[in-house]
Formats: sequence, structure tokens, C-alpha cells
Amino acid sequence: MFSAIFKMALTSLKNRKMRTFLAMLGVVIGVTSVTALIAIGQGAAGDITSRINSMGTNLIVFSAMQDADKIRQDDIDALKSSGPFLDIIPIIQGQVNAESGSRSVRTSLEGVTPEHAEVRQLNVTSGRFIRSIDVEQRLRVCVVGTELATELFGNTDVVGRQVQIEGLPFLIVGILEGKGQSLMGSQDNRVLIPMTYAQTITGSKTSSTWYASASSEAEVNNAVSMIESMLKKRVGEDNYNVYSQSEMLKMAGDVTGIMTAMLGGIAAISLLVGGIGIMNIMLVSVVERTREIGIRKAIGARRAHILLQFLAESVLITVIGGLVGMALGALLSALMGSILGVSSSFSVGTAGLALGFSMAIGLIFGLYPAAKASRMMPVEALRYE
Amino acid sequence: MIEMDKITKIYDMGEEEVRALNGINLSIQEGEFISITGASGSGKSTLMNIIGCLDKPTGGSYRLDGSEVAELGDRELADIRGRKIGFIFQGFNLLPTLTALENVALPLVYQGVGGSGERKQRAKEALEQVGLGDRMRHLPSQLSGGQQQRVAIARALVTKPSIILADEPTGNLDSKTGAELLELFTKLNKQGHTLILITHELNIARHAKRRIRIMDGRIVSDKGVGA
Ligand SMILES: Nc1ncnc2c1ncn2[C@@H]1O[C@H](COP(=O)(O)OP(=O)(O)OP(=O)(O)O)[C@@H](O)[C@H]1O
Ligand SMILES: [Mg+2]
Repeated sequence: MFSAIFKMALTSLKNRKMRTFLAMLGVVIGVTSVTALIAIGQGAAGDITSRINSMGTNLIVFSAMQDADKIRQDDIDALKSSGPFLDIIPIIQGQVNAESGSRSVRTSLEGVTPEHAEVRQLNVTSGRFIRSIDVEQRLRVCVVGTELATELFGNTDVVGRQVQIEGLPFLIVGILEGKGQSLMGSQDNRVLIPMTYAQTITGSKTSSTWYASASSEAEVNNAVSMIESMLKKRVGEDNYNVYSQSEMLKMAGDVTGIMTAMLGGIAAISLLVGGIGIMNIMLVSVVERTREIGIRKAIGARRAHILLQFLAESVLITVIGGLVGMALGALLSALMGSILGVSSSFSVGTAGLALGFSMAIGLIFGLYPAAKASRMMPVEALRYE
Repeated sequence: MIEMDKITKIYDMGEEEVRALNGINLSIQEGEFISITGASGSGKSTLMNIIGCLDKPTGGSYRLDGSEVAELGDRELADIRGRKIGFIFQGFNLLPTLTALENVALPLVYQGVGGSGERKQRAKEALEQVGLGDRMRHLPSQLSGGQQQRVAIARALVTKPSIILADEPTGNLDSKTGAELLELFTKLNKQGHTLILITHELNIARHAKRRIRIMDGRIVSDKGVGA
């Protein structure tokens, strides 16, 4: 009997192809958008996490918000020699114009020392990294990212060529390994120059940000408290920030969590609209089929039979539409991921949730009018034109 | 088995009320063959709908096989409509999207008759009984009025109900098929089915053992009781 009723539901959907298609479309769009947007959100979160991880292991970033000049090289050296540190390197950063011939590119400049290569996992694919002698003698050499090289020269075969940075000529000695796009922008549009020269170009005498690497994971907390006590002494309470990698991961996780929830929320609205679409069509369909319900009741259909039939119809619409939506969502998230340059992580769980939600809406609102019609006396339903 | 006492059906049309049935007292035994005649609008269909448990009377008591119909729940009424009664409607009431065979098999689905093979077989037999064995795969829209009428009859017969109610069953048939149908009804009655049919054709009414006339919602003559 179940299979017979199910077959009738299928037939009645086939007999109303356009309507079935439209009802299904709402579910397809809803499930697709939820699946795709959440996949993108989670993918982006994964990107940010792996980017933080790629900055180096056991990394601690600290900065002074004011009075950075009160932190002397002696303080840094004292920390360095105190045990839990592998290295501590200053960072000088700024936005500069890089030019070659008539081309000019806005790029981010970083002053580095040879230690940066290891602590921040910066590798060169051709040429070499900045060396100690470059730093000591303040040589005008630089390492450029692949995107910057391409924008300036049209290719990445640029070791040995010259680039003008804020009007000063620099010799390109190396090309950085590509790190790809991230939501925070390209990581390949940058130029690294010796730390000592960066101070001249950006105009800041001292660094206000340092990267420190702890000698082991177990030493991270110890290292953080040593940095904090030094900073407290020099710039005072509340005037500094210290982040260990795990803290940065947590912060990033919070931010991307909010982002994913927002994307999911927007998508859920389209799902709701899809659900309302089903409801609308089920309502019309049930009213239109009052007479059919009357006939079925007149020849012995119980209320449960009628409800079961409409239930089967909404379930069919939502399940088929939902499966199509899941497939499209997986496809779309992969597509959007490659366009936006983030990885996407399709999850069957979210897709299933979206499917269940639209199904519930279809059922609830489809069942109500069906229940109403199934309660009528057959003559009343039969009289309906 | 059918006992009606002071049955009324009143349609409240706002200012005025229509008394479609105005105090029907009727008792019908198992195996009777009854015709109901009367002018258009006299209340024949209304009475038939109440007998078939498709409608509820406004007042009075209707007992079917000893139970008071007004006290039955939806599920029991559905089962009575499905098993006990075969209803042939004035306007056929076939489902337009189902084939003749599927229409006829439908009551068996709701009765919970096992496999689709068995349902098809029984539906086929019912269609052959009304001479439509060669039109089983047709949709109602692909059938003539008389053929649709016969599909509706086959649907009423398929469950082998103890009571068959027919509202103008020969209205759309030529005299030859009408006569064949009458023969079928007579045969069914001989097999023990109770038969109640509404008609305005006197030669059909004449075949019934008991003849009831209705006027303005009342029974004005009842001939052949117990014959
Ligand atoms: N739903 C309704 N609302 C109001 N009045 C109705 C309704 N149904 C029937 N009536 C009235 O009840 C009376 C009896 O109708 P009924 O259909 O029983 O007549 P009938 O004897 O079957 O006529 P016919 O031979 O034309 O089929 C008619 O006057 C009709 O107008
Ligand atoms: Mg009538």
C-alpha cells in the first residue's frame, strides 16, 4: 500500500512538471547557496589557519604600541641569550612604490635579516635570500615576490635586474617562493630588503614589531612571560601586545567563525525562501486538488492515506531538489574557491542540514492544507470546482 | 440493515434555508433492489450521499448495520465507504490522471489489498464485467461518457461491497448498454448485493423490486416493500 501511494505521488508530480520544477528550484537554490557559502567560509578559515601555521612553528609576535624606541637592542639580546629563544628578529614594514621603466606598482616592503628565512619560512626559488653582509653594509639588494616580479617585468626571471624602490635603485638577488592568494590579499606582492636599509626607506629608526621563535613548544609560555616582563619594564603595562601562535590561531578562528556564520545566515535566508516556495506550491496544489481528495475519500481513503500521499510528494520534491542542490553546491564552492583563491571545504553535514531544513518546511506547510482537506466530508470536497 | 428515522438535511443559505430532505423514514433490508425516482431537485442525490456516508444529515438518526453513523469516527467512516459501500456518482468522479485500470484498482489500495498484481487482476475482472476489458490503459479523457460511466461502475464493484448505490447510472448510456447494465445489476442483486439506484427512466425503475418516489425531500410513495 505504501508503494502504491508513493507511486501515485510520483505520478502526480510528473503530471505537474512545471510546478514540480518550480517547487524544486527553490530547494535547489537554497541548499546550493547554504552548501557553497559555508564551504567557502570553512575553506577560508582553513586557509588562514594554515597561513598562520606557515609563519613558523612556536612563533611569538610582540609589538609596542608606543615608545618603541625605549626597547634597545640590549633588551632583545638579553632575551635571546636567556634560554627559551631560538631567535628574535625585528620587523620593519611599510607600503612603497616599486618601479621599473614606466611600470609602477604599490607593494609592501619588509626589512629582514637572514634569520627571517628560517623563522618565517621564507624560501627563495631562484637566486638567494638577504645575507648578513647585506645587512651589515646596508647594500641595496632585494628579494621580490613572484607577483611583483610579473607586474614589473612581465616574468619571474628577474634575478640580476634592477628595481626602483621609492626612487632608489635596488638589485634583485632572489625570487620568493609563491604563497598564493589569501583572503587578506596576495602574499606574493612584496619586496624584502636588508633590515638596516628598511629603516632609511620607511623612516622609522627602530622596529616596533618582533618575531620570536621559542626553542620548543613547551617553552612558548615561558618565553611569552619573559617577553611580557621586559615590555612591562620598558613601555609600561597596556602599551604592548604579545601573541603566541596558538593565540593567533584562536583569534583567527573566532573571526572566521563569525564570518562563516554570517555567510551561512545569508544563505539560510535563501533556504527559507525556498521553503516558502514549496509551501506556496503545496498550498495551491492542495486547494486545487480538493476534489481529488474528495474522490479518494469517497472510495475509502482514510485521512492518513491522504496525508501520506501529500507527505510523499513534498518529500520527493525536497529530496530530489536537495540532492541536486548538494551536487551544485559542491560544484559551485569548488568554482568560487578557485576564483576567489581560497580553498573550499564541502561538508556533507551542512548540506544534509540544509536539506533537512527545507524538507521540514515543505512538510509542515504542505501537510496543513492537506490535513484540512482530508477532514472535510467527501460531498463538500467533491462539490469543490 | 439501513434504518433512517426523521432524517433531515437543511442547507442554510443565509436568509432562507433549503430543506433538501424533510423527514425521511426509511428501512432497507439486506438484498433489496430499490429504485428512487423523483423530480430534479427533489433530494434524491442528497439522500443517496447520506446513505453512502459521504454526507451527514442535519437531524434524525441513521443506523447502518446497527451502528449510529453520527457516532462513527473518520476512520470507521472511511472503512465503511471503502468496504461496505460501492458508490456510482452522477458525475462519474474519476481521477483524470489515472488510467481506467488504476481508477478501478484505487479502492483496493485503500483497503490494503496486497500486491499490485492482485489489485490489477481484480480491477481487470471488474472492467471486463462492465464490458471495458479493451480500454484499461485509457485515461478518462480518452473515453466516451458511457465508457467513463462504466469505469465508475467497475470501481464501485471491485471491492464486492454489500451495498451498491448508483446515482443515474444509465443516464449516459444508449438503451442497449443500459439494458446490459440493468442485467448486470439484476445479477449482482441475485448474488446478494443490496442495490439502490436513482433513475428517472421508468422502465429501469420497473425492474426494481421496490420503488420509492421522492418529492420535496419527502417519500411520497413506497411500493413493493418486502416483495
Ligand atoms: N450544497 C448545497 N447547498 C445548497 N443547496 C443545495 C446543496 N446541495 C443541494 N442543494 C439543494 O437541495 C435540493 C436537493 O438537491 P439534490 O441534488 O438532492 O437533487 P436531486 O434530486 O438529486 O436532483 P437531480 O435529479 O437534478 O440530480 C435542491 O433544491 C438543491 O438546490
Ligand atoms: Mg442528483
